[in-house]
Amino acid sequence: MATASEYRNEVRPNWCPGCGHYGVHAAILDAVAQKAIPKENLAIVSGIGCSSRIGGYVYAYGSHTTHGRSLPYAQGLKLANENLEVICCSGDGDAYAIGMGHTMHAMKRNVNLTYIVMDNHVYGLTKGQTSPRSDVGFVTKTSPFGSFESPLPICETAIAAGATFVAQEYSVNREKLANLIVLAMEHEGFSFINVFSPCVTYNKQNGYEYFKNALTDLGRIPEYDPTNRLQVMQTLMEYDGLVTGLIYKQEKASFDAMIKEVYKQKAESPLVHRVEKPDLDVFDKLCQDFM
Amino acid sequence: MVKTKADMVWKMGGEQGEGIDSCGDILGSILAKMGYSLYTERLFASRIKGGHTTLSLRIALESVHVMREEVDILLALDQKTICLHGKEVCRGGYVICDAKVTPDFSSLKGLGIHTLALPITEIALKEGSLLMRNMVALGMSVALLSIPCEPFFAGIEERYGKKGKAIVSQNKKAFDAGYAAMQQELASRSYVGLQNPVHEPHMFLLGNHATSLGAMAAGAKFMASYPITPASEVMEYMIKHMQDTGSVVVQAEDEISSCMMAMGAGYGGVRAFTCTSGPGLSLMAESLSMASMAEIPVVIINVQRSGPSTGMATKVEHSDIQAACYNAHGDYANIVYVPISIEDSFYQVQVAFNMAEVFQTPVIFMPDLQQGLNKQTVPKFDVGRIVIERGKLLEETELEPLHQPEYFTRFSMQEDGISWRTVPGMRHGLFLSTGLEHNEEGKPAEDPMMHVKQMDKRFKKLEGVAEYCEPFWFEGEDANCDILLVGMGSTWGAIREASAHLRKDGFKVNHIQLRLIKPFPKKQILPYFKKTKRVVIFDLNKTGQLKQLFDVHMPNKRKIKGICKYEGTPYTVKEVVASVKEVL
Repeated sequence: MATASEYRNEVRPNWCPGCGHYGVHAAILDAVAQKAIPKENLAIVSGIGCSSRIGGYVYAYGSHTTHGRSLPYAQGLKLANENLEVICCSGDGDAYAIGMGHTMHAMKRNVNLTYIVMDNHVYGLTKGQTSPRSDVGFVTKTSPFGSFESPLPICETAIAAGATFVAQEYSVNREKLANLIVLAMEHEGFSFINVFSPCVTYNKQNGYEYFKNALTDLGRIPEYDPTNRLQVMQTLMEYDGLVTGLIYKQEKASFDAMIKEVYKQKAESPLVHRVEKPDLDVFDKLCQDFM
Repeated sequence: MVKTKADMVWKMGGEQGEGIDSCGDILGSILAKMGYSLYTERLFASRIKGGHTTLSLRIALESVHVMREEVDILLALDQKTICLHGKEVCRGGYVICDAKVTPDFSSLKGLGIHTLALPITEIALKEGSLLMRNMVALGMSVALLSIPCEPFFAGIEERYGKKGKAIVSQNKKAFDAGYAAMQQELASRSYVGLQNPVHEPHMFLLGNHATSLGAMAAGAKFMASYPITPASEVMEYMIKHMQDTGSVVVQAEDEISSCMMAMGAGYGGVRAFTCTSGPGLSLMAESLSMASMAEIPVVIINVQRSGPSTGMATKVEHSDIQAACYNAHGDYANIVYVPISIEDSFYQVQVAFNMAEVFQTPVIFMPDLQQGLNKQTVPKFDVGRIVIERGKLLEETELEPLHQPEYFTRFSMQEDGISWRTVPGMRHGLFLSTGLEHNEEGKPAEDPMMHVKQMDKRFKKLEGVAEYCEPFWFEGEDANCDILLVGMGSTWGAIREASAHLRKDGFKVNHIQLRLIKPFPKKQILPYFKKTKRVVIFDLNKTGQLKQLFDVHMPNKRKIKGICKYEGTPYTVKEVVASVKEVL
């Protein structure tokens, strides 16, 4: 088995001391080590924001892209080379504000990759503005009298959008989170994990004390069945989304698999190994269609 | 007695949705099969049904690249067509109108034009239904062009075979009845028919299909796109043939996603592209800037239409020149490359794919609506002429000896600015990719000197572009000339034919049709620029965007005269000749 430290590089994270993202980073390294993913086949894609710096903090092929657009990039990469283990990372601003359109469509499309969102209910890198996940009454520089928009119920939204794997964890629970990431990587299709990851600098309201008391482990709910859509939605609403564990899982062929099935493609190798001229007979036939 | 011509224009007009397109399409495809050269022009409104529309077909023995102004045969399904286009018909030409609309030909009196009111609707109703009007008109056209009708029966069979025998037979009857009615009418008249074709049959296709085939031939295996007029046909065609090509095409949620998906795939090592038009190009601006910064190969096809904003979505314009060159933020390095014809779209889009990989930078490939949505005959595409060049992309086996301690130096300094490249999945090739300024391994770097070094490197790469591609098409003489005509993209045909006219009139004319817009091929143009007394630049936009590039890059601005057209229609040969004569 590989060790987590093999996937650590020499770049020092620029996160504040005490930031929740350190825990998420550690859990990702644990999970890829547990699965012994060859480093050259590991691709970490991220957007913009504190959390998205993570693309540079793993010894792998790291891509730090544009704000809110990491998911399209990650999907393109995965479809180019299905042999890659693609993990895409964002923060709640990246994923649920500027990138929400892509997030919903990625859930609906179901490309086989893992999406981890570090959710601290605030914008950190731009030094403290309200986010789509901020609580009502949350005071920031852009909500001086308290935020009055409803926080986005992201897990319900994800399930409604068609996500086939929805989980939630708390950055402190490193081992549980690592296990969920392993499950996510093993799931066929788009796997989504929302991680509560406290911002110690700009969100004092949703700090470690808050999450410790607010969250309920789904393991403690008797007979909770993550495949029972109705029960899942009901539970999320009952607990106001403040639950941890595997929330929802549905077996469904991924987009990647559907392409091969619907278009009857003989998948001999990933696209990346097939940059070549088309078969001459096939091409000739295409030209003949116009003659 | 029938006289014959080697070059004729057939035009049909009426309300959109009356089958004008299919009539023209059958006529064109059969003529192409017979070996004629064709150039088409379609004017239409941005709606499904209703609105005035015309379809013109220039039919010739030798290849033609522009519509001619004088029409030989005008088929009018309504009075509006006569009013709007009747006077385009040449002396001795024919205007045929449906008798149902009791046409008023008085405006054409004394022009030497034959006018006929024929029972198109009546025959159609008799043979089946109103829908058959276009078949009746087709039969009449074939008789008037004096070409054999047998190939058309086969064409109808091929087109409507799927709809059942009854439909095929109805269409054939309608065609036949139209043909007979016209023959009867012509028995006592003189008219001009088509000469027999001289060359082997060519392909007859849309520029958007030529571009798609070019992308396939270039080995592009990934596309992501969002529907938009006049570009959607590219995605549709690529999806239709996913099974044949083994590629993956994604209809994305928007153009930002399309561009980022293509970039993800391009970074992943696949030849990847997206296809859009103006509004979509605007949305791709931020991604474009990142692709330049992270040196990601990607091809963005922008089929230009009239702007700004939603503009005239079904009309041609070249008003995206500045957007393609400068619409993203920061000092970014990209390539903008424009095909000059439908045939050129096929051969040059593969140059665009090669350049994206050789120079490791985004390439905007920019046909226009006139090319994209109109069919033309072109000699069958020769895949043998396509060469896939991937530049400094390393093989995994080459990496081990280079083994570097932690990361591969993907952004290493090289004399030509182009670094060795690896892609995910390669052992010993790991690197970081970021839109932040970075060092040679791709790690974020704010060191001022590293920014200068990396910035200079990204622009150094562009210095080799003009030598690598075919920056422009040239026709003319090496010696000093009176005038240098300059165009870009689809204005090629009009300027080329106009140049021939001017040369016949005794002028020494050189013609440059630009493909490479950015980086501007100053060095390559300069010798021609120096040897001419005057330069006339033809812009298909309001603000002279092409001329502005010359103003910025070339000396002696006083030599340059700019002509701007922005009515949403292509230049005609007459317009080009007239504006040149004004300058001379």
